[in-house]
Amino acid sequence: MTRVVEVPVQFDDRTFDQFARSYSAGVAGGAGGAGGPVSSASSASSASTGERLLFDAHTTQWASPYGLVSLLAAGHLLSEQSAEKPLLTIPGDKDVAHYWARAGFFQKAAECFEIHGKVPRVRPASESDVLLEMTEIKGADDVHGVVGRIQERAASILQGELKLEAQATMGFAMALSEACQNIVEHAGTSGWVAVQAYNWRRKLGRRVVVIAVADAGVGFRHSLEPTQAKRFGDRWSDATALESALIQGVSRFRDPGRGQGLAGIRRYVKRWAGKLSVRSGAARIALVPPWDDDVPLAEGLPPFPGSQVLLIIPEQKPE
Amino acid sequence: MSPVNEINLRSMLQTTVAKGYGDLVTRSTGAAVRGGIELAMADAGAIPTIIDFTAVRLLDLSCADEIIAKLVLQYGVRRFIIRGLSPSQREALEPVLEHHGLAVVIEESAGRLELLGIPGDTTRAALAELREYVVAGTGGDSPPSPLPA
Repeated sequence: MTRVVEVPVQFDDRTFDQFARSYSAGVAGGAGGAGGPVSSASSASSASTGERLLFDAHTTQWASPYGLVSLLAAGHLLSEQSAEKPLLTIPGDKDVAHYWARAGFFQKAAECFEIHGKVPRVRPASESDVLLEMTEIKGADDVHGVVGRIQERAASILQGELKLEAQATMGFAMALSEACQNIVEHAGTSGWVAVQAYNWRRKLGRRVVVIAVADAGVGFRHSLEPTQAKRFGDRWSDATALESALIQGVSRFRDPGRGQGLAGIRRYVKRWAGKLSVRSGAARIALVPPWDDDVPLAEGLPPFPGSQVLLIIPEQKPE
Repeated sequence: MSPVNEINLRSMLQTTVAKGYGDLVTRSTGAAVRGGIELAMADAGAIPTIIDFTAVRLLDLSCADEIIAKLVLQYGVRRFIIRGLSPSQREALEPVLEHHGLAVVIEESAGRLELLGIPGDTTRAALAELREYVVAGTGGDSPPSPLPA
């Protein structure tokens, strides 16, 4: 039997909860929805009954890097838990499929999905707005790789188009490094990162550059539970775990130097009037700039495994 | 010239982690580089160590913590002089030092030694000692001169 996970028509951080709800229902064998955490065990439940999940992106018209890395993380988790890969139908719209291909999505997706539909052949993304194609992060070597590539590719866009100071390019690479290390240090599995620049007409009428990082690992709550749960008692949840990590700089390690990475990302995002959003389990916390109307903390969301991090740096307005 | 133990951090990175690397990123990288510095310090005895960032591109907070904060916590501020910090590397190091309530002695572009981080009595004394050490190496009353490149 095959259960369908609907990929939203516009698939980005705004519609991610819709995707998570469908995913949650799929892995729970149709009985899902908002509620308990989606753990590796619950994801395995549909696999163990011989059911397959079909991620249906046929009607998808747009997907942000956030949507695509999350899709890869979900596929990776499911493919590890079952002999059969989950299924994926590619977007019917040729332009959309081309963009996914240029972003390096299909190349990586082939490793964790059985893909249905004709995958377009495209040129490498080295001279496009795709600053970093979909890249798997397994360890420190991968972080060195993405940091090296982003310094080569991003400087002209960050300085020329987004009007950031030259120094900000290094800060951007630093933020990218710390976001990726969150996977290496805490997720307990590999994850995915992508960086892209685009015109954000709907929201800002300006250019933005976006870093999206996702994994389907243990998530913040599980990672911090052994050292932090007692402190919160009944209040311990995905939301308090995220608050602990992002606001208080708490880490699962007892080393007092730990927990500075997210604080560094926060400082960078704030300095350049950007947005930072971290979703894990059934909660999402955000550093919300004046140009955005997101909420600082959302709880009771449809659960999704691991964690998903989004950084948006907008084009700077002239003084 | 007073003797110093000088460490080119890029060379140390490539020796201890991987050839071709130019960025100080990740905890594991920082830990490996710190181990290399500690070995070089053991060989050099108690003389000050210059940690030279000049040829390094990026420094992230995790690596700054693993290398500089942990070395200073372990060996004390008077053992180190940080050279060649770029503005972005300084931006990464400063909050790490503040997080620990630490300061380090850095060599400014003109060769003058200053403190970066949160200065206290101990770090101010260390700065004075290192300045004196450098001046003594130049032969007496002249102003502090750059440490050897």
